Amino acid sequence: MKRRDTLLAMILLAPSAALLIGIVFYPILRTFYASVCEVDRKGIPGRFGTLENFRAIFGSDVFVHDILPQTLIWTVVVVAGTLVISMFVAVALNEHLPGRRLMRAVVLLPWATALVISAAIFRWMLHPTQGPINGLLRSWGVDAPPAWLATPDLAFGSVIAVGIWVSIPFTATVLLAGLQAIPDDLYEAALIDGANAWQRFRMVTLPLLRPVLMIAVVLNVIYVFNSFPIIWTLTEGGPANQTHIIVTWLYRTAIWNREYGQGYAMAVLTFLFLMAFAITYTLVFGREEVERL
Amino acid sequence: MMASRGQRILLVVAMLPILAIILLPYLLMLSGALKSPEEIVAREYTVVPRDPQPQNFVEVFRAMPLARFFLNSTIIAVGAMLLVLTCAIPAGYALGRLRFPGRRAVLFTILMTQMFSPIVLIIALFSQFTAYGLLEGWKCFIALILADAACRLAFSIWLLTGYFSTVPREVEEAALIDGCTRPQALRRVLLPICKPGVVTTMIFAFITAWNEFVFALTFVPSDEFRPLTVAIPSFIGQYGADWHLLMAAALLATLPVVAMFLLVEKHLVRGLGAGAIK
Repeated sequence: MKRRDTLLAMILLAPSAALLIGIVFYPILRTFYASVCEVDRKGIPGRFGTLENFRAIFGSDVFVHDILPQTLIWTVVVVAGTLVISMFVAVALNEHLPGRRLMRAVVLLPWATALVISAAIFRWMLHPTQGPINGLLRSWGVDAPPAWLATPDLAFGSVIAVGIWVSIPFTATVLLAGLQAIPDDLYEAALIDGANAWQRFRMVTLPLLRPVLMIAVVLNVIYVFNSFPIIWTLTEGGPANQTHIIVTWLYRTAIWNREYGQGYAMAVLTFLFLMAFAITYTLVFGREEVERL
Repeated sequence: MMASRGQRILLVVAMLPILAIILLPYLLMLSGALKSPEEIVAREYTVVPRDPQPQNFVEVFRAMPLARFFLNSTIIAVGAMLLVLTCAIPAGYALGRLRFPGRRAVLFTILMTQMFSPIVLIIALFSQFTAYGLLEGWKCFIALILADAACRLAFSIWLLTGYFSTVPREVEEAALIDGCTRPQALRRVLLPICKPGVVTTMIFAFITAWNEFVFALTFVPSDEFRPLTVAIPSFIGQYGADWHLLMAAALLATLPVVAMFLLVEKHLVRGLGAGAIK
C-alpha cells in the first residue's frame, strides 16, 4: 500500500513540479549563471566566469548613493508604519464595536484593488493642477500647493504613504487573526489583578501575539522590498531617480536599457536578500506548520 | 481586549480618521468618474459633482477599447485559475492525504517558492519566453498564464493541503471500502467536503492574476493584448486630462474583484496565516 501511495503521490505532484521547475527553479538557476557571464543585448549569456556585472552595479554612483539607501528607507518606513497602524486597527476590530463588520470590509478594500489601479488613483489625486488633493488645499486657502510627485522629498514621502496605505489590509488581517486566538480569560485574569488597558496590551497581547507579529514583519519586508507597481505607476522612480528602489532600478536597467547582465546580477542580490528572510520565515513558522500537517 | 465603555468610544473615534483615509481614494474615484470633462479639470475643486454624468461609464467604452481589455484580463485570469486548480488539487491531495518519503521536503520546497518575487524571475523568463516565441501576438497569454499560475501555486497548494488533511481518514476509507478508486473518492467524497477550500483557491488565483502587473507590463507585445492593469495606467500619459474616464474605467475594473474578495476573505486568512495563527 505504501509503495502504491508513493507512486500515486509522484503522479499527482508531477504537474505542479513541472510548472514550478519550468517557471521558478530553472529561471532562478539561469539568473545565477547569467549573472557571472558576459550577457549580450538580447539577454543571452555568453562567456562564463566574470564579476563584471556586479562590478558595474557597485561602480554606479546612483546605485550606491541613491538606490541602496532609498530601498532601505522605503522598506523600513513602510513596514514600520504599516505595523503600527495595523496593530491599532486590529485591536479596534477585535473589540465588539458597533459597525464592526462594515469597518472590516472598508479596511480590506485596498487589498482587493490592483496595486496599479490604486497607484493610478493616487497619481490623479496628487496631480499638481487637476488633482483633488491640491484642489481641496486651494479651496482651504493654500495659494500654491506643492507639486507632490515632482519634488524629490515630497515624491518619496508620497510613495511611502501609498505603500503603507496598500499594506494595511493584509497586515491588520493577519494581526486580527492572531488577536482572536488569545483566550478571553487571560484578559479577565489580568483585569482582576488590576491591570489597566495599556498594561493588558503590553503584558498579555504583545507576548502572545509575538509569533504572529514576527510572521507579519517577515512577510511585509518581503512584499515591500519587492513592491514594484506603486513606485512605477506614481513616479517611475523620478524625479532624478529619487524614488527608485532596487526592484524598479532593476527593471529599468534590464528591461528598458537592455543591460541584461547587470539586471541578472541585481536579481541575484535581491534573491540572496530575500533568501535570508525566507530562511528566517521558515525557521519561525514553517517547521511548526509542517509538523502539524 | 475587553476595554471599558469609555475606551471603546475612544477606539471608535480614533478609527474614524483611519477609515476615512482608506475610503477617500474610492470616494474621490467615484466622484471623479461622474464629472463632466470641464468639471474634472476645473480650478475650483468640487467633492460632489455639480452635474453627475453616469453616461461616463458608457462613454469610456468608446474612448478606449475597454471591452477588449476586460476580455484580455478575463482570458488571463480564467486561464491562470484553471491551471492553478489542475496542478494544486492533485498536489494538495497527495500532500494532505498520502504518506510517502520526502513529503516534508516537498512541502518545504513549495513554501520556499512563495518567497521568489516576479521581479527576480522576470529577466530570465523574458529571455526564455522570447526564445520560445511566446511573446508574439496572442501567444503572450500563454506566457502570462504560465507565469501567473506558477507564482500562485505555492499558496494554493498549501491552502488545499490544509483543507484535505483535516478530513477524517475514515471518510475516505469508507468510500474506498465501498469500491471507489482513489481518484473517485477524491472526486465524489473529498472535493465536495473541501468545497470552501477549492472555491477560495479558485477566487484567489483569479483575483491575483486579474490584478497582476509586472509580468503583463513586460510580456505583452502590443496594445490590443493588454489586460486592464497595464492598459488603464497607460492612458495617464496618452489621455492626460481625461481623468473622469480613467476613474470610470478604474472603478469598473475594480468592482468585480472587490465583490469576489469580500466573499472569500475569511477563508483566505486561514491559508495566509496557515495554522500558526489559529
